[in-house]
Amino acid sequence: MTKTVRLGQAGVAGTTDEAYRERRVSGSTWAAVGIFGALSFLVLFGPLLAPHPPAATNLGAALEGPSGEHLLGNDHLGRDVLSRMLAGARLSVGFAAGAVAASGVVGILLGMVAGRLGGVISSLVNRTVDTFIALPAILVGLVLAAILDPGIPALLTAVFLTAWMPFARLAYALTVKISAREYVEAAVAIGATEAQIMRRHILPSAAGPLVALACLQFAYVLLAIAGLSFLGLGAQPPTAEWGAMLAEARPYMERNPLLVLIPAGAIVLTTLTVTALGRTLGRRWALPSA
Amino acid sequence: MLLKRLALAPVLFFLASVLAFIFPRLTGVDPTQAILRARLSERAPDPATVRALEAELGTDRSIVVRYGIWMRDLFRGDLGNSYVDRADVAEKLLSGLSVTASLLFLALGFGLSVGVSLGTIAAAKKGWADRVVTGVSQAGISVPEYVLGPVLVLVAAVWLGILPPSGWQGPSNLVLPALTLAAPITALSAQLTRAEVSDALAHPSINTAKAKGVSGRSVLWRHALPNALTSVVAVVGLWVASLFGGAVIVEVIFDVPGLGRVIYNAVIANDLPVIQGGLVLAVALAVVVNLVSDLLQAAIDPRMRTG
Repeated sequence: MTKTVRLGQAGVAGTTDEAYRERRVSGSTWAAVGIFGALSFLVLFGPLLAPHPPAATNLGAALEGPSGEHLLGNDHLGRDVLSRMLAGARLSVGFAAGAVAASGVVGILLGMVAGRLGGVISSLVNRTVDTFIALPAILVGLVLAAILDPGIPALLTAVFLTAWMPFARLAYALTVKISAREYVEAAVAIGATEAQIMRRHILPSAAGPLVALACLQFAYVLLAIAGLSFLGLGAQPPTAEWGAMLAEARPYMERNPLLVLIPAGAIVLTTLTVTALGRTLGRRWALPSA
Repeated sequence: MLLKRLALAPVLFFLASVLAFIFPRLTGVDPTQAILRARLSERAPDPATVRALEAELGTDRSIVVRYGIWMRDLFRGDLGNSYVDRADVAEKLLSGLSVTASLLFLALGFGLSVGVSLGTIAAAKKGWADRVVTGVSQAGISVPEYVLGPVLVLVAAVWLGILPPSGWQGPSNLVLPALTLAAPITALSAQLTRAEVSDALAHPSINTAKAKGVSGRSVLWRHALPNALTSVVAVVGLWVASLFGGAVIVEVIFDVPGLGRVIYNAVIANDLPVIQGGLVLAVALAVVVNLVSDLLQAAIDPRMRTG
């Protein structure tokens, strides 16, 4: 985590060949953009495209392989896997987006306030982040599931509690760096309030790296949500969620391996895509690669 | 820097102990009822049993007194007994910890040695070797344990039939869980090593070494790599923390009786003493891991000792 500190000193990207190459958008990035577009489409319109109701069971057709009627086959209760994947896309990706947005807003606010005001607030925020940033969401989720009972509220709280910290750390580093610039000094001189300075001067300059981080955090949050649901601590059956589907399919993988491979593939593909986008954006805005 | 962190450790431990102590209250679970439910399942408890239990738990005394007693017992290594099977919590957790520790050491050892080697080769060779290592490690980071685990079981146990799918009987049971845990470590350390060795190779001191006639291989492994390793060591502590999260998933998938699964089972069964003890142990472990990684860094990198 020494990386973010270096980010604070990275400065504006140079104009050398190296910098040009780093900024050039590669073929794999366009592929990632394409897949991301397709995924967003499925998240928005997937349930409309679903050929069957995701919860409709048909025990007579349980564990059947792909067919014209059921393109990806059926699960152990005879539910249509394609329809469940589409319903799950909305849930997994939708919750991840919501959690990233909420933790992003809180983390960025705390980081900016700490960076501008310094003093006690700054050490409080920074010490908290330093101490707990390595805390895995799975462990927080376990503890919260014991307090709140396993379910979506416990899941989202756990993810939120861990996801805000990288935002706060980066926002803090950026705020300190940007505050040293002359236009911020000028704004202070003409008597702008702290709120105005943060909104009109700090945030626009910090937006790029923060968006790049949001992509990387999206991947992290998606994996945490699916992981907790996999353990039975998040979305509960019969809810169609990718991690929960994976867990439900495990006992039957000998008879129908696709049941495991399809949600597994969806989770990995989404994570890879979002991470690739985040890294490209990160290079553009001098966000470190690690 | 080091002293500051040392001073923080007891504060953290105190906060964690308070959290662990009040934990049963946060859950809103009545301990008496929880015990009765766990031991009698659906049968109706008789009032005499309920009263006896309440006296045994000391639910009538003030909360500060109870915290004091709880802490005293804690330092004596007495974490109480499981609600579910009345087993000694400390013993239960420690036997789980020994299993998890062997798993973590194996995964960390394998992941770091493979990852650092691959990263160094990628930085030195560039070209296709670099592209393969970068691509594979990128993918490795995006594959969570709960995806890799079932897929490994499918391939190695179901299709090839060369390894047991789950359980904890012999060394062959270690392979799949350790590989699953090692994958992200391998990928992360390969990426980091590659970046750091590239940086180190660009340093003027490398030119000096070359000018003095040091061989290319020696420049890479004796001069560039040690410099790169300081930043790998710096983050290993963080990786160990995330390994504990991964261990929960891996132990559930492969039916390994480790610490993660002990706590997971306790959460599912509302077994409060085990969760409490687990919380305390987890924080103690985190503090120790952080401390060791700080000391290790100071040992490797002279610049850390003064700051």
